[in-house]
Amino acid sequence: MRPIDRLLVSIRHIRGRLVESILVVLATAVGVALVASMAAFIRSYDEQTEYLLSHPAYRELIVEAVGNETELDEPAVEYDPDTTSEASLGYDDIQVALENTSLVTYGYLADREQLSTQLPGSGRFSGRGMAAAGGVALGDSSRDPAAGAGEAGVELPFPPPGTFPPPTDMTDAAEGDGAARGDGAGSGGSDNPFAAIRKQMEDAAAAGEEPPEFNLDQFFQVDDDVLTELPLESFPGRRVSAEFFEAYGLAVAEGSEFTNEDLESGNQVIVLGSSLADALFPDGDALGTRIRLNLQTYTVIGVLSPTTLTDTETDASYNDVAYVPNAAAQVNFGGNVMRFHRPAGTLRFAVDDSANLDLATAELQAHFGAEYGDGAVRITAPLEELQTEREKLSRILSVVLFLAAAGLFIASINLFNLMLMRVIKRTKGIGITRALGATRREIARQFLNESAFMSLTGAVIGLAVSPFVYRLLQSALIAEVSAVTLVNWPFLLVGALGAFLFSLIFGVYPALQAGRIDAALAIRSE
Amino acid sequence: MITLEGISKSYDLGSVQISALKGIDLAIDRGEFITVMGPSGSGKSTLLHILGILDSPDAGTYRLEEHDLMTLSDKELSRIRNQHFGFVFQSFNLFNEFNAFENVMFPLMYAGIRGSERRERARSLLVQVGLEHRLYHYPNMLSGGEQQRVAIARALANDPTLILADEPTGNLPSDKGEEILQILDGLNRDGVTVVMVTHDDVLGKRGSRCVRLRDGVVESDTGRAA
Repeated sequence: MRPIDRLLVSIRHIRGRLVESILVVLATAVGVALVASMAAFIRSYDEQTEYLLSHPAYRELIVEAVGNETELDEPAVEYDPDTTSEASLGYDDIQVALENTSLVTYGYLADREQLSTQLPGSGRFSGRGMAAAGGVALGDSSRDPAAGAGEAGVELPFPPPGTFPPPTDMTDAAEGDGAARGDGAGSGGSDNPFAAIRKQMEDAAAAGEEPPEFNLDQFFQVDDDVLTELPLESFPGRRVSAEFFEAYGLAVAEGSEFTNEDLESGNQVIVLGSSLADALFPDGDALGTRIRLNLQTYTVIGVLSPTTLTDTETDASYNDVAYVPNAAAQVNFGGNVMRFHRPAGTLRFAVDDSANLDLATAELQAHFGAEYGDGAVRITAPLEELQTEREKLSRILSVVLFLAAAGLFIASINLFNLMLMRVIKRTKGIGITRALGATRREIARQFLNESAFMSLTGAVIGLAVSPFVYRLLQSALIAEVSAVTLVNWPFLLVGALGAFLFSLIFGVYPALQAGRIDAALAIRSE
Repeated sequence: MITLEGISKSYDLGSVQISALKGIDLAIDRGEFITVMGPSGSGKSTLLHILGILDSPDAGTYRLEEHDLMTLSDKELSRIRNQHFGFVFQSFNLFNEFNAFENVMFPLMYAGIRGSERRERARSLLVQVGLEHRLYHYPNMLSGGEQQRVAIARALANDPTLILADEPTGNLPSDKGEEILQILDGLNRDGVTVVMVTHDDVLGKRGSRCVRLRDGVVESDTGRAA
């Protein structure tokens, strides 16, 4: 019998038992879709894990001073020095730590901060809005007392006592490297409006009067050559020290990276990721442009080459990120630049080989213990958190895969039962076809063809819906680990093929049973 | 053409062993019209099934022409059934999911005949049995006589040399039965060997030779007597 004839006969038999066949096909489709999407999903998950394990962020050790945390429900501005640790970690600690350890290769600062191009007075700007819309991002910097101070400076343009660094920190930005770079954000008048207002306030308080009204605008005056209109409202930024570029393998395509001298002298320079530079400066004239971000004026000194790295916490591509010097923040108050050396809060160290993370942790623990006392700093390894999370997720995936396989198994058993029932119901017909010249093999093939046709139909439908199941699984399983975004088609196909073959096996036994039927008995049966 | 020697067959019905055939010797020549008669349980149908190699005997030899059928494989035996034998049953045994035309095509499909040749052949067979107006009717839309004629057309699909008919008129009114018998007579005149099982004495005399079975042995054989 020719395969096409066998297929046509199969279709007629399936049509003869349409409802059961459709149900079995649909059940198979569900099983195939589940198994295929799980196979593809686990594959993507493994690929993502592999990517993450190679990511520089997972060779990091994060060092934070204990007691520096701000509770979530506490306003960030309330910074109580009494509750903070003795360990006020800053950039200087990094160099010392690197000298006292052998396995730690890099040390750097790399806090996340959303950079906003929105200017005060644009209507979007308010004390709260600043924090939410782009002032200070959640996370590291909200634990950072200096960041809190920064917010205070926005809401109230002069600091609550004990929050701001002493006024001796106020410097004129005209001195130092900033001027040489043309970063003369503060090359304004010699009057200090901040001190003047403070004096007014103190006088009013001394006299028991209401504090005088003052004009906010004077704090936000911007030189004419500063670009204030940018095509993006805000974008992710990282406050880094120079070693960050090296540790993350980021290289400049144009201009230069900033150095730690920039960092120490508080130069307001910025290095842009490649895509961000394209978005902000479509004409490619980024270098040398002065832009206004988070109330500060930055000069673009470099554009990075494209990288495949993404931020492990936010999933933003590092091409979309801007990099500014950490360790010193400046606020330009009406032409006067106020710079305060804020405690960095979070130090990052990295090892060459993540296998050394445990030993490096011990080294750092010993170093900081000797420096600030035992328990003064907390050292966390993102890799450890990742592994914990991955282990948990792997278990969940195993369970879901098991359920998917169980679904396919049940569907296949239904197919098996349906085929066995058909063999029994068609016993007499089998006898007649034997009389007409069908071999036992031909009869087995006929039944196998029928079950295979149903399996295949189910597999095709299952494959067609599997991208949707995949997305569903994705949204259900990987809320936090979201880098598994693309549908992995090769593995979807492999999974569907595997599920199809699995389902096919269940048609074999009924087919063999059909072939074994005794023709003479079958013809006598009713 | 066919030589059976010492054919015996028993069925195992649980604890009871039933001997259907107990040493049958039978020789069938080309062109004969043999009727097989006997009471119920005498082994008529078993003999017919063994002749049609649907069933294999427990003992004895079966020679078809020069072949010893006991030594052939399932594939070879199936080919013999397909090419040389045609079966007609009391209850017609058409495939209900397929129309008359398709039912007739089955043996042609097993023979590997394809396309237009197969369709032409199926059509001419149905015309031959007088059903040119019933080609695409399903079995449940046909009368008993029509169904049996479709079954005969199907049995004739590959020009068999032997027609094996098991009570072919048993489920038909006598006039329709007579039509079927005339078709078989016509085939026999054209040289096809016919073996027909019946328990009707009148029909038993239609053939050129009558074999009577009783309790699994040949009771009488007009061919042998003659």
